Amino acid sequence: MVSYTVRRVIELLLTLLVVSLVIFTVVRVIPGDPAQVILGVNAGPENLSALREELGLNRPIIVQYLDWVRGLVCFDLGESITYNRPVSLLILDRLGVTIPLTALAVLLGLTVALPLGVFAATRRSRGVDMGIVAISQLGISIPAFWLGILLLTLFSVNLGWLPSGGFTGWVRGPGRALASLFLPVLTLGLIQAAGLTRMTRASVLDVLSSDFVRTARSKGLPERDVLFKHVLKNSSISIVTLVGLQIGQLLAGAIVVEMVFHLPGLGRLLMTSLQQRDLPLVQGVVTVLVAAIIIINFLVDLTYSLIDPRIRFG
Amino acid sequence: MKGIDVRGKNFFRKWAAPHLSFGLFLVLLVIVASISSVFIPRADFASMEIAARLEPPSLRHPFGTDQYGRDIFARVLVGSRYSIVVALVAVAIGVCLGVPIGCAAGYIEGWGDATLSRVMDITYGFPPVITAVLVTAILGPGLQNAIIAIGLFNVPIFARLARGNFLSVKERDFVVAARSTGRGELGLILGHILPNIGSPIIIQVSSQFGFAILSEAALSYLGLGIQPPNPSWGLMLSQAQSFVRLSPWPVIFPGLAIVLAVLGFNLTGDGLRDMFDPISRV
Repeated sequence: MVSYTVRRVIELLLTLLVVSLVIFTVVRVIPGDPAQVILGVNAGPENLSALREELGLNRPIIVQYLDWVRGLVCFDLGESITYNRPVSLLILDRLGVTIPLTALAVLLGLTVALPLGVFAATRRSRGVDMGIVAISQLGISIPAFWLGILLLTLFSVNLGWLPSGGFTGWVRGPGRALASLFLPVLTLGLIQAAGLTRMTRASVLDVLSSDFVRTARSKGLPERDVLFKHVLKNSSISIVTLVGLQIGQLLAGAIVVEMVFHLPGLGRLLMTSLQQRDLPLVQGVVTVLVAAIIIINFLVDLTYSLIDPRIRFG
Repeated sequence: MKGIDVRGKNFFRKWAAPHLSFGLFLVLLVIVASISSVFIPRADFASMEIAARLEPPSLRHPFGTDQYGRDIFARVLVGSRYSIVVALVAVAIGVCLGVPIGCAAGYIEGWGDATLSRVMDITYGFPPVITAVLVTAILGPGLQNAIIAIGLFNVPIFARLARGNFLSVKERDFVVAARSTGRGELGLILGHILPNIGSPIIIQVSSQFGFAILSEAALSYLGLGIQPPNPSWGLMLSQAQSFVRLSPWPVIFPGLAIVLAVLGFNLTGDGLRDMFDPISRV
């Protein structure tokens, strides 16, 4: 087990190294001279070359890369061109929106999806199952931003119950912050719930048809015990994995939802930095997002193998 | 345990067949819409008529008009063409790159397989939105972004699928038998293994089509995909959002179009899966 974990950690570090190389290379390919972007089109050539020197753009590319990676290790992602602040601080600021948004959305998704999925599976092929299947099928076909716009129109434009976007920040009290997060969380959570319901149903159905469930039933266990002691325990493992695997989709959804509701989160930071061609910021945010996806997947994989010994050496 | 097979058959008759045909109907509708949009003159979806802005649905404008007085029905039809083109090319990229990579990984095994699989894992770590941001930064926003970003994301999906099926098929008796008759390795792969991993790939194509349409809409909504004045469903929604107080119609119809198109491909994918692989019925 220890050697397996060590091997996986080495693999993870190698993966992250490759990812950093990919992002660094891609950002270097981007046309446009950062010095020109900072100083504007009217800058004289001597000023440009002085700034290039200062930014370290004249150094060999490999030195620039190693320097950047060294920074990454201590979460030093360079300086933003447009904000004149360290990229890492800007990102930390925005995490105060993105982390609650995604975490609450997953929580809402699971709260809706687990009971519905289990309920549908135990009533397979009956009316209620078909209803749940049909609704979740519809749910995974709805674009998150459209659902967001519809909820926004209904609850804040027409009914005036909730703020129509924006974020007052946590310092003005958690009540107002949560009120501005309510619709975004609802949007992202319901979309998540649709996919999770289908997965839960599928995984419970899968376990229901396995031999140990037949054994449990044939030794006379009441159906409730079969469900709670055998089926849920076994299907929860694969549900957790599926939640982990969806993290990429979740973060992508969060980016879009932040744009719909004008939330100052990581996604919005990414989009504005792109519009302003603030490359250190683009590079920093993309690195953090991709690293988060890879690390969470790694953790889920590891947990999975801890719980289920059959996977361990796979 | 009262007769799971019987219930399975009922399930198939009662549910699987209707949802497959409904899905195919929606898919056909989108295809007809995108083909018919070729015959819509540019003036019909691009000409602005400020006096007729944000009109509700009427006989002349079945879906109403947008903030520039453009006919939403015509724009939704033309938008379907962009959705289909992006999805078609993006999924084709996924299949054409992913399937050979997956087969190669499944064939060579060992460290080559491990390397290819890790590369696919890394690619999978870049959701279309993030890839599109990077591509936009290099090439500027546009149609090609959406295609590249969604296409790249599809590669690892098809590679994993192909690899898994390749591994399970290549040890099967009929392959061993074919090899013992002296067939070459390439002939074995093309003639015996590929045809037998075809159906899961075809099923996946349909589901990925739905995902591609959804992604294209999201990218265009963010301004990373198709650019104005060309109509794309996502772009129409992002523009209509600012006018929702004045008229809800420009928000409703393009959104419905996305839902129906995606639903069509998802239902078709699920229906095909039920037909070919009744055990893994979702």
